[in-house]
Amino acid sequence: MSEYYIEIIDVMQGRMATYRFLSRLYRKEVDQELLDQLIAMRYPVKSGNAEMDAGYRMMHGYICSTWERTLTDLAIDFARVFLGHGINAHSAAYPFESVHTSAKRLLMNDARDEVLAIYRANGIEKTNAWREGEDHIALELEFISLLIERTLELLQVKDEEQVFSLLRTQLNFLDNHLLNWVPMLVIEMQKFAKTDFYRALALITSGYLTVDREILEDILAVAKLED
Amino acid sequence: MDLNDSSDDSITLEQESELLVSERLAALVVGLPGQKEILYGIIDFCRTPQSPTSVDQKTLEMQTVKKSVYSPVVLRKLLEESGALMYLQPAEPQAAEPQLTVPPPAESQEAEACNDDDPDYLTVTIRPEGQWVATDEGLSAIDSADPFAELKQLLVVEANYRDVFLDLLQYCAKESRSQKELDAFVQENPVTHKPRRYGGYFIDRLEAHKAIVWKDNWSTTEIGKEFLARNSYAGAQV
Repeated sequence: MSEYYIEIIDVMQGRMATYRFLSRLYRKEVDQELLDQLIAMRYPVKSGNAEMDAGYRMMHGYICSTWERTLTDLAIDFARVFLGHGINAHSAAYPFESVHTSAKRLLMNDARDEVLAIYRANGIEKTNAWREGEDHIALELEFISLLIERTLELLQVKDEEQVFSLLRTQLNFLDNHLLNWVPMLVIEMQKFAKTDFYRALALITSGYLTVDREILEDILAVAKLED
Repeated sequence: MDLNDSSDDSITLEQESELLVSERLAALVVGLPGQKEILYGIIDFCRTPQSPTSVDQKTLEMQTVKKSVYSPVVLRKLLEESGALMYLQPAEPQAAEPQLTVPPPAESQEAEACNDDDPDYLTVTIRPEGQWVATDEGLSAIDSADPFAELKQLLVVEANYRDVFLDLLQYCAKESRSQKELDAFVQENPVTHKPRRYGGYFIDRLEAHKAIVWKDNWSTTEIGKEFLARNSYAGAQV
């Protein structure tokens, strides 16, 4: 197995972990288990992306001050940022693609139908436990993480053709969906968040999606993993 | 008029600020029925800065006879939002010596904040906990509260039940009474028959005014007894 091949596996594992981490943060409030993980985590100083660096630094600062009130504060801020008071479509940073890509900020609109079709085309269905729309950011991030998991399996059996096909699917999904609306979501997150935690999450998400797109482009440009 | 004298303006601003906190606190008390004593008790406890843990313990002590769906953390948060409590961030550790030093280059400063083992990553070191302290406005709001005046106001607002309230106070001053006894006692006064008022109606109001308290049974507090003495109320023979 070439060095480049091993490096690609390493990169994919890092990507998968990051997408799962981000997906979890958007899926529900921070609980004690996740808080413990956040305390144990190491926060990169120089990721190569200014937004990510600022975000990680901000999140590190917040996590350094975690006392008994942290979970309550975060739960309140999660509700404030993503649920809002529900009076109109501008009361919160709604984490659904449809809201940001439809003229009247409607839920369950075209974008949801599109991502649902993509999930199905890739043999993925949402579980019954998930009661929100399929175009929720947590699901879109999780979708990419599942594709990366499959990519890793294909890398193990050295099926290059399928690996590149899956990487292209991920790049397309980033371009056509996540990068098409998440930049708007993170601006709203900055607006509604009262804690540095969710402000930091906005920066990290925005920075990471940009970086990940560059990573995918670089890998696909090589178009060959092993001589 | 002395144009240099700004004392009038500053007094107005202070009064306005005090009014806002007291208004917010009053709204909070109205919004959380039955929690006034606990809310005021937390503010009173925080006259000197207290650790979150000790504030929680105190709140739980007060909640032993008054169960609540509001956790100590939530009550603190609500009092903070009303401006009656504030959170003092822990002081950043100060290096004692030396006082003067040559600042390191920017690159080194950044690395200093990171893990010594790996300058590419920041690791979490939990900072010491802060403290809760009552604000001047919060203390002023509870100190200016006059339970006797408020109780008197209750009897003015509900003048038709004045005797029932006073009889209840006297009834519970002799010995502590059960809910059942109080229900039967208020029915002896015909004014409670139409519209029908049960013991709970009067108990809630007297408790909110700190005139009676639940300790396995209902009994009249010192405030309630003092109120009876001040008003020289002979009332019904009970």
